[in-house]
Amino acid sequence: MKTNPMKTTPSKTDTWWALFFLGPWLIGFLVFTLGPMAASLWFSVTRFTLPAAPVFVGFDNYGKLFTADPRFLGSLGVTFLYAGVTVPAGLILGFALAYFLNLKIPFARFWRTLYYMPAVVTPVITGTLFIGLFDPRHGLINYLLAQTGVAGPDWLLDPRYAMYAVMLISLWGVGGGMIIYLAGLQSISTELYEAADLDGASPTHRLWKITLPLMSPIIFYNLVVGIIGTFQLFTQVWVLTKGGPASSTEVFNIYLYKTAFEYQNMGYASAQAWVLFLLILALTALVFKSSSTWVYYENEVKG
Amino acid sequence: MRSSLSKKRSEAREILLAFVLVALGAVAILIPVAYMVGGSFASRDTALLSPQSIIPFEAKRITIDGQPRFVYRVIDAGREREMAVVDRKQGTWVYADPNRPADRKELPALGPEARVLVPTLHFDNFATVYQTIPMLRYLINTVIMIVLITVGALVSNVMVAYGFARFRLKGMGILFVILLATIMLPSQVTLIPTFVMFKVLGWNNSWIPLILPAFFANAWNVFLIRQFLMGIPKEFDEAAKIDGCGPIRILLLVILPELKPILITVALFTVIYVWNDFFNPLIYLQDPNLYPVSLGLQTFNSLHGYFGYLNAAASLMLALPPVIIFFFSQKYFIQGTVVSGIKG
Amino acid sequence: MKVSILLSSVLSLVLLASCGAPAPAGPAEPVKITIFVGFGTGGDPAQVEVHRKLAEAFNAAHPGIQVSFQTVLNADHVTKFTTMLASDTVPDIVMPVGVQGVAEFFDEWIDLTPYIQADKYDTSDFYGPAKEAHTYAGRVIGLPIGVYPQVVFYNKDLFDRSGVSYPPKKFATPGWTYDALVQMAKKLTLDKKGKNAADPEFDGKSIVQYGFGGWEGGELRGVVGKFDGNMRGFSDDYKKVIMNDAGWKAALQFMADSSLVWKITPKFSSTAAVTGTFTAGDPLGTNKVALWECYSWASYLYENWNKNFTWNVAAVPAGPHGTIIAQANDDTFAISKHSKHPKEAWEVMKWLLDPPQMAQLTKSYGAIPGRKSLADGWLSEMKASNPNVDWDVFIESNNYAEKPNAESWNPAYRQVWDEMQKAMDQVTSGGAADGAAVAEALNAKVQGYTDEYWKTAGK
Repeated sequence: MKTNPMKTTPSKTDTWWALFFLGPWLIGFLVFTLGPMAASLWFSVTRFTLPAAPVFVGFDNYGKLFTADPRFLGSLGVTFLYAGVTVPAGLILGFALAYFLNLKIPFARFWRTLYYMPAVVTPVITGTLFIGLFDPRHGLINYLLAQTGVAGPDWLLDPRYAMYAVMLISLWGVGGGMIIYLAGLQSISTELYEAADLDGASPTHRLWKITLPLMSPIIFYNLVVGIIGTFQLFTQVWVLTKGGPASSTEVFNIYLYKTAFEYQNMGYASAQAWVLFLLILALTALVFKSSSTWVYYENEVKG
Repeated sequence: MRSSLSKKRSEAREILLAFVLVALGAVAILIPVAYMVGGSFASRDTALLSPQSIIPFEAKRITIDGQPRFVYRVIDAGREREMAVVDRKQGTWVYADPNRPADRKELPALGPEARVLVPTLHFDNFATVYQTIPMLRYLINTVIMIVLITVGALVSNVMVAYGFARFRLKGMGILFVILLATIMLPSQVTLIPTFVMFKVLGWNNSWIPLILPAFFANAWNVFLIRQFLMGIPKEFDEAAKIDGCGPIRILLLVILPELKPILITVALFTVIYVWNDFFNPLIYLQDPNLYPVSLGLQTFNSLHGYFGYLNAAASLMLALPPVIIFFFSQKYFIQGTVVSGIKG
Repeated sequence: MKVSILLSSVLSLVLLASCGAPAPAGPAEPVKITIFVGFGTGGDPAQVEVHRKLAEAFNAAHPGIQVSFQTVLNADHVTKFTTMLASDTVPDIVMPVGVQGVAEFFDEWIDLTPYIQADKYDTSDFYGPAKEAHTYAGRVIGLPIGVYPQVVFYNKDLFDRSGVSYPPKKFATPGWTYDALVQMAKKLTLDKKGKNAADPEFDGKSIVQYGFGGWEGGELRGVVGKFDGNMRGFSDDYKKVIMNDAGWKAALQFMADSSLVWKITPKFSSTAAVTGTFTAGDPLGTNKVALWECYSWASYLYENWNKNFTWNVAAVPAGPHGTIIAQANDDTFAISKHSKHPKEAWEVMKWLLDPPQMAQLTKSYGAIPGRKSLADGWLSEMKASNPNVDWDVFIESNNYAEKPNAESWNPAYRQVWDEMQKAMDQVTSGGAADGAAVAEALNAKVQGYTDEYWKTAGK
């Protein structure tokens, strides 16, 4: 019997309770979010350059984005590249990190704090630190490479390598996602592990048959959030390169920010935002659809 | 059946492997942090070395004739000595022996790479940061904001997640999609309409735009808590219902205790987010008396970047409280054992 | 019950927080004028303090008008100002703002001519190219508060060490051209073994000292002027782009050659290449750069230089055809057309432009005063602070400022600016060796933006 709460017909008291608990979000959505979202949708079908008033132009902006704006397509490419590399890397590394830090290794508390620290350092100073580390002449990275005989590239200052530097730097913050995995690992009942031990299961066996499946709702969360997060990326790249050099690290949101605030073209920027929105929506829908095959909720009893 | 010895050995191997990998990775993570710590003791006189040094070095200076003089590594009659420069003429400089300043020699002028450098730490940078901006007021502002926002976040997010996880409503699937969709729209674009809305309400230049939305749930946290909630067996709810509990009491007595690890996590995230957020205060606040610490410390991020060392000191101070809070709150969501199971 | 305790504590905190909410308006309020600081300098704590004291003094003397300064970091000013623009919360005045800041929001400023005429305000004390830098097609947007002329800073110690004679301090000294500067810089560019760039055995891969620090991105059009290119980059009606004439190509080629061929300039922007993570953006201050062409706002670096080496200033060299362009940055103020009290804003500005107040502002900004009457005072003050420097080079430099200003407005301003920056990035990073090709590409791109601008402008 399926017990997915989203698919069965509700009773009357159920409906009232649902509305009550969802209330804060519903009110907030209608008051704080719907208005601005609708406004931005309206802007996206207008020609709206400050300080002039918006003028309706239909799907002009959208058309231009895909047919006459190589910079936009470039930013899409950069963003997809970034997401394609960092989302899987972050997922795997974050989980591995949480798994190791959940074991009874010495000084575990210190290691966890250490790995978490990057998440609390403000992005602005992070940018300064990594610009220094990746400096082609005085930075530590190229110095270490030189010790092994490799001539380091110009990293953040070279259009061919800047993106790689940005992706490497994003790995520094892997400790942020680790927390959620840690919390999840905690909630796996130790009874299951004890039962597995009695059956003579090896650690790998335990990992694949118990830990991962029970962690799948959390992994699912991190995957969805990771996708949304990387597509929404702005500050971390802005403080490193501002989208340069030569737009090689110009992720979607940087081009959007420039269009909205530097070129003051609100209408065009709103169209960009809605394209991004639909893109993320489509990707998330895909992930959700696939979730029924690999995400296991303890509540759902299948077939 | 495996012997307990071989089991212990494989567990020990696992722990050793984990320890080695974690330690190696930690070194890589720590390097930028080390630079930040080192930079916070630097000053305008810090020398640039290649590769950049974590510990700040400055040129050694000694006072001769009432003036500070640079000390250079000089080649004098085939020997290398340290001497201080006391006079400069075109091409030739006059050097003095640091120990016997009357002992002087005329030798060729040298370049900056010949200067003697010594590690120099400026501990007063932190005091300077405190004296340059009204830290106490900023701290109080920040604490008030954090407390209010965290309370609002915990209450509203738990409520909404509970609603999504445990109750049935026509069209709930669509509502959940809308919930997630709200975070997919880039914030830069809703920034201006939101700002206009708050201005129309007259809440500009106050904390209200920063605090009020926290009481109306946040999609990321709702999603996260909902995922956890889905992992709590419904049998718990049923058992409580049999005992005569309504949904609210089920939430408070049954669900909340199970959610403790994730609630601490959400609280931690919220606190750290608010602590570090300077963009929203930047947009909504005009009066410097209302600034939180994050915005106040931006002062050192100035146009010509010549307060870099103060920026580092300020960032270090800004990073410490969350780190300390994290360190001590670990035991709440990294507990040794979590016992679940229906009590008889 | 626990819930009620929670609710009441939240309620009290909300009440406490609402103390941060704006108070309701009282009776017969004085006119409030806001000055937005952030387009240029003015954000440092010392400068904020100067502003605050000035505001206090003004408010005490003018009960009917209350002025306050709103300071935003330069890095955030575009975001903040655009948000204010879109939500109709624009401040009355922006100050200090350079030509670039004015151009970023070009349509936002009022013409001061009616106010100047009505008050018969005497503008004769404002002098030089700076005065015209803020006048566009008859629209007077601001009056110069401070100017920052360009000079060549040089490190005497490095010259001494290599036995090279100093550059001349008089403008239009015969023989002082960029070719001469390149020859000079070559002798001052040293590799690990001490060989200079003019030496056939020079090792370009191990340079420890550079002869010439190069230019920053905002200066491209001025540099073009030195090579006799079209400094506006556009035809007079701004419809046709002229970024590929001989001067443009020569300027870009010079920059490419500086780092690729002659190796006298570090790759990338001069500040990025020779400075450390937490130390100042100060090429000369590293003691590894001999010559640096920069503006007088570098004054915040003097203290560091004085500690490290002996320095002086020289005249800007002439281009290949004898043209001397010594660029200038100018700071002015502008009054927003959305201001509800332009007349009172003008009163505030008149007071701030009075010599005693203006002197305080320019000292704080590190600018040379825009008033002739104050310039002599500036000169004597600087001479007293450092007698080893030829301060009159700065004053003379004013006469050679570029017209139009390198930062001045053009259609699709920021987009064009970004393209120019990209072009400079290419030639200074070693990514492009052919200045002519870069100029052609730039021209095409900018023409595209310009055409689009005129298509939708309808103004």
